[in-house]
Amino acid sequence: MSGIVVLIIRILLAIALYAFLGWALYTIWRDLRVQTLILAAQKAPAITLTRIGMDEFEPASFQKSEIFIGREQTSTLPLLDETVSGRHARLAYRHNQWWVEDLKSTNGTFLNEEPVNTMTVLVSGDEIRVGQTVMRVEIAPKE
Amino acid sequence: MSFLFPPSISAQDSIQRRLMFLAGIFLFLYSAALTLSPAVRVHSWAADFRWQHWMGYFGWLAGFSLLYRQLNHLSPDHDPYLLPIASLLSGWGLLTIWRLDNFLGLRQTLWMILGLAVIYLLLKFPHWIDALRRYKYIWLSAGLGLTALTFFFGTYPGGDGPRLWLGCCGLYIQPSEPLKLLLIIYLAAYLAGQVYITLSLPQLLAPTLILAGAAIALLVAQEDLGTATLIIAIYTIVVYLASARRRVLGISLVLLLAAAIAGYAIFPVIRVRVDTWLNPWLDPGGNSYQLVQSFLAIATGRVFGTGPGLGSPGLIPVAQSDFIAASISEEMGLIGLVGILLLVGLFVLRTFSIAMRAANNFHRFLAAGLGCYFAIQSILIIGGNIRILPLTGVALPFVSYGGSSLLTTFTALGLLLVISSNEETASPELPRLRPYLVTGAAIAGALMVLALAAGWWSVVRSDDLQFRTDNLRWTIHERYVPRGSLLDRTNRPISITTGQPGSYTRSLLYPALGTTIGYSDPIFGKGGLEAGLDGYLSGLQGNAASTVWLAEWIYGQPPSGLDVRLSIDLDLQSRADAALAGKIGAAVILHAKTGEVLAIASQPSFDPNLMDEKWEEWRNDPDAPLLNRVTQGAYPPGSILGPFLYARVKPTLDRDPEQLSYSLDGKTLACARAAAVPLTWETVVAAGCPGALVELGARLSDGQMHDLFLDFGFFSSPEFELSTIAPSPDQPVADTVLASLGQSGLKVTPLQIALATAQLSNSGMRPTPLLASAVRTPHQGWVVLPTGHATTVDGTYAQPASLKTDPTSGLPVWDAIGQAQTDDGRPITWYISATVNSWPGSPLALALVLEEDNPEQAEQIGRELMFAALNP
Repeated sequence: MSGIVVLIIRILLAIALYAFLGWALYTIWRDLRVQTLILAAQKAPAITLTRIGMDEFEPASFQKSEIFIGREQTSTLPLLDETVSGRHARLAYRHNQWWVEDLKSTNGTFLNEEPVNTMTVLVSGDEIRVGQTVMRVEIAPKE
Repeated sequence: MSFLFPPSISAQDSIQRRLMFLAGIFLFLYSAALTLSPAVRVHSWAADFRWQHWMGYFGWLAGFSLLYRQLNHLSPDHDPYLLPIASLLSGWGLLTIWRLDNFLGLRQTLWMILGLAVIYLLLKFPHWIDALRRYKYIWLSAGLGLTALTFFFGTYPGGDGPRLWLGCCGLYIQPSEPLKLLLIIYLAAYLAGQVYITLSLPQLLAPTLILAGAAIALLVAQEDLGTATLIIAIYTIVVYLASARRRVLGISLVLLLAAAIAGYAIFPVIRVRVDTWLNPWLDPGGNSYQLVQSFLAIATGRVFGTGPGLGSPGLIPVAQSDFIAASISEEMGLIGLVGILLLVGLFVLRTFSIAMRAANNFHRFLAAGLGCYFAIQSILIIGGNIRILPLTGVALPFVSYGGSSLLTTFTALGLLLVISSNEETASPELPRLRPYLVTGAAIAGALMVLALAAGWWSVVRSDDLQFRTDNLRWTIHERYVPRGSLLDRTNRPISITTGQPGSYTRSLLYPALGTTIGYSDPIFGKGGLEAGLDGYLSGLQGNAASTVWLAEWIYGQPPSGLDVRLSIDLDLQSRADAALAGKIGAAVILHAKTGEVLAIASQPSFDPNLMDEKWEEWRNDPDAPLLNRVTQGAYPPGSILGPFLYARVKPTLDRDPEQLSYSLDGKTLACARAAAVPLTWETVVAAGCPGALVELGARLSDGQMHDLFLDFGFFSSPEFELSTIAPSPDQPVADTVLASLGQSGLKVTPLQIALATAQLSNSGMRPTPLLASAVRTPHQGWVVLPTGHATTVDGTYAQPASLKTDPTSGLPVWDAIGQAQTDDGRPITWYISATVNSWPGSPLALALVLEEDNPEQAEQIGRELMFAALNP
């Protein structure tokens, strides 16, 4: 008799353990799905950089949330310009805005000919100058 | 329960509350099962219930309920999974420790409350975490300094062991535990200090040197392979997560392997660990004892476990710390261990998710580092318990016994809770997601491998491991489950179990049968028939499979043992023992057709009831009382070969014997007793006259002599419930003279001679000896056990023995006497006897040996026993 009572307790014990695990896994999975939906909604709109005065280059368009500009070949947008630092500037999508940031480059980064000292918001039509290269920014409207 | 875990304003609150409820219910049920477990063991409600562990349960409930309220109050945005998972793991560990040892349970409860207080302080003063960052070198030096102190003042709380502790006044801490945490904080602070994580080699130099230095120092000075591995692994993964460079993994793997190989070559402790990991079965009683006991515990638990308090995890040395995973596996089964693995996996998953959402890079690397610390430490120790990895003495976080370890893990939990409370500040962009996914997948894969390996022990290997002799669980079962009795052929008890459940003891009512019945003793193991018939006596054999399964499932025990009826006749047995009393020798009487043994006596014998006091004395006694001479005494046959030779060559005999004695190497061998006149082959063979034996042997070639020995089974051990000595090797006969005198090096046991005698009397059919004749099953009553197959040899000596009845004996039997000399020159006297063919009753055969030169007495005892056997 004592064996049966304890057996029932043991079965309930296993159920409690797996109820805990099941509930945790279920809510985490549910949470993850919601997060994915939100992230999809927050997807960065495409940004296009057109080099002004250099028609030989096609406008470069990006579907990313972070763009590194510099002379290094590993940069997102590599520039063949001796006045551009290896890692010169970064464009980043945060809080539903595109931002530009100077990465302590030698010659500085300029937004509409104003030096960029801190993270600054970009809008369509802005002009960014890194070294001697000037680029116009076009941000696709949000879907 | 709402009083204990009240709802709060937090958005994620319902998840956390429900999980805390479930953890509380789980631990309550565990405690309840543990309280009732003594009643299950004795199958009755009249038992000493266990209550002490409720102190641990209520300590847990109060502590976590208070922390839960404070947590919701102080940082409502914390991660809702961390606290419930940690509470379940630590509560489960705590109750397991109470179950193993009440004193350690109490200590662990106090440590847990202290740990909860530390978490409270961290929540109350969350800016402390930034002080950690600012003064990283101070903390690091403090940690390294404390660890360095153990090189000079290190002790081991349990007496003799690795000197990894610092202690004073009954309180011990293990500085390598906080050191791990401090190294992670330092590493996170250092990496977060690098503005853009494009770590070049020189930038990695400082942390590498410090961490590698700490790891090597731990390895060299304290031979602590576990912590050293852990530090290198955490370092690698955190740098990989921060830099996303796969090269780091490769370099670190090479370093780890190099460290392991160097450690193996230099340090004996590590060599032992690795060797026992590779070959645990080579030395299961020595270096790999712990490891093998761990496998046995997991195998005992099978899938569902024995239930809390119903297994015997205390048999594993230091079950409460290094082997707590194996202890949990035994009582909660594979599902329990998989549950632990899932909890660890969930916890680590949450730390990674916290890392991704952290307020700054320091918090991010710290959370990821702490996650790796939990993951790797859990994998190392659980892997060590189930032979996936070499055993490293690290603690299972939250679960294992140990104050320093528990405080460290609770501090880490506090830090994670603080870091997770970040909803306002936006997290810095993750440079790459991939390293997190790769690391997460690797940890999940490792946990899955552990689950599969645990399944290997608890399902695939479970049955083989249950019956290993070093699985001592049977000694505990024997105290709680009555063992079957051994009865004689008229159901008179010989060996019985007495006492109350929980203190059953075995006693042999007829001690003279000691060497045959043997013993079932927690210290000395099992011997004799108690070992040979253990399946029935312990209830695992003879019961329906469903009965065995149910008993194991409900009680964690085998079912009640079954009684076995032996073929021994206690009256005849006591005659044989009385006749041999004071002598050194053995006698066996068996049914010549069925092989049933009616009496089996070996003197001197031992009394299994007195094993505890006299074992050493018996072991050192030159007369070897522990030896069952019937099955294990190997004697040269000597002139007792006469009847067998005679049966072989009888058809070719055309004249009477000429010689009685024989001169061998200048010594004259005479007849064992005076041959009766008129001299015939029968009378001289019966008297054991060596000259006649040589004459008989001369008629056989070497090959025929060899076949004769083979046909009478002198080269083979009979199948028997008692263990028999290995037979003489089957070798060609080199010297027919020596062979016919029975002095060619061939050794036989009295049992072999008795069976060969039965064969002579039984038309060439040699029975298989048998002691167990029936077993009493619960449903069918007495079930007769099958007799073994008889061996039939064809041909020449298949005819009945034609030795004449000795008219002086007055019995319907023929008999013969023989003498032999052992290799060291001591005399042996043999006597054999069997019923004649015309005897209408049960055919009997007897063999007797005395370790002295005394043919008259051998004949007298033999005839007396034969008379008693024929006139019951």
